[in-house]
Amino acid sequence: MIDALPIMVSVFPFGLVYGVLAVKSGLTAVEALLSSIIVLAGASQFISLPLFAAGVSPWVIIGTVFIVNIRHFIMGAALSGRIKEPEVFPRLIASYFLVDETFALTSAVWDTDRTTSARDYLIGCGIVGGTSWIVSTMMGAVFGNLLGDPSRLGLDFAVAAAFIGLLIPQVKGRPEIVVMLWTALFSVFFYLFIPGNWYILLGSILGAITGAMVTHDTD
Amino acid sequence: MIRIEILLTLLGMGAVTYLTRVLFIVFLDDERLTPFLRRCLRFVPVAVLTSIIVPLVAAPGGKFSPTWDNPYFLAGFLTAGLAAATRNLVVTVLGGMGFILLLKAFFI
Repeated sequence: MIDALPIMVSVFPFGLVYGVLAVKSGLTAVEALLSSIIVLAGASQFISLPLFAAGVSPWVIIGTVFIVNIRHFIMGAALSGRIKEPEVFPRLIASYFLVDETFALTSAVWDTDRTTSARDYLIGCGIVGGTSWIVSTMMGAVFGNLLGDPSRLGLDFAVAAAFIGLLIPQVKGRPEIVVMLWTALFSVFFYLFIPGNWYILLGSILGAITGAMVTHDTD
Repeated sequence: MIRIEILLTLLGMGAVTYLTRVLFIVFLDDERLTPFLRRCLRFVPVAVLTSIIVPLVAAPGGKFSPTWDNPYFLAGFLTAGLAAATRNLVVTVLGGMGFILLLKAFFI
């Protein structure tokens, strides 16, 4: 549990920002809180905000969230081999707590000490990180309601700034830059010429395929 | 206050998210992913974030204007520089809000 403290600390400001932006995007504080409990996935919750604000179809929001989260396939596949217990029910519980941070910590710890139960470790740091996420969302939402007009405070740009702050640390080399440039073209094209806010979904799929085409398995 | 259509959307978001998590941990083994698909998945976060950000800053309000007199476009570059320098989300968000306020107030 002590190991999960860094997750708790790093998730907290992220949850505060999410809570503030959620109420500024038109969700109520309770809806923001429910989102953190039901979805428990930072990036996709952020991504849903401009879509909620634009009032687009629920199917577009749900489809976009699915695409954002298919990276969990890779993490789940990697962790599945490290979880030795066969029981289905605890695996169903552990799955709920699979996020970027708990995946990174669980696989790192299991790789150094193979007597650890990856399943129980995932659940343990999931509870710590998830609690932090939910509490900070609630605090951010309450605080956000106290702030005034979004545009006057620059909050209309805050969602974009948050995404930029998430994107830049992930750019580790040339393949990511290539993906960014092509995705920029795809997404703007779809944004301008295809009605209904499908641009995130379509741009992401084409961008990810571009990435797979410019890399090899040895990368 | 909870609106029923928002609640249903959140439940749908939660369901597809849980599906992506549970699929390989409970139901499939990792042999099912081809190397090409694995590489696609690796780039999904970068591709998703880019396809959200670029239209927001380069075509605010649905009008394509990748020019320096578009404050969102300029603020996007400044914020990216700040993100690269600090790698801190809270600083980046606050800095971005500062950039857009200054640009709108004084320059553009």
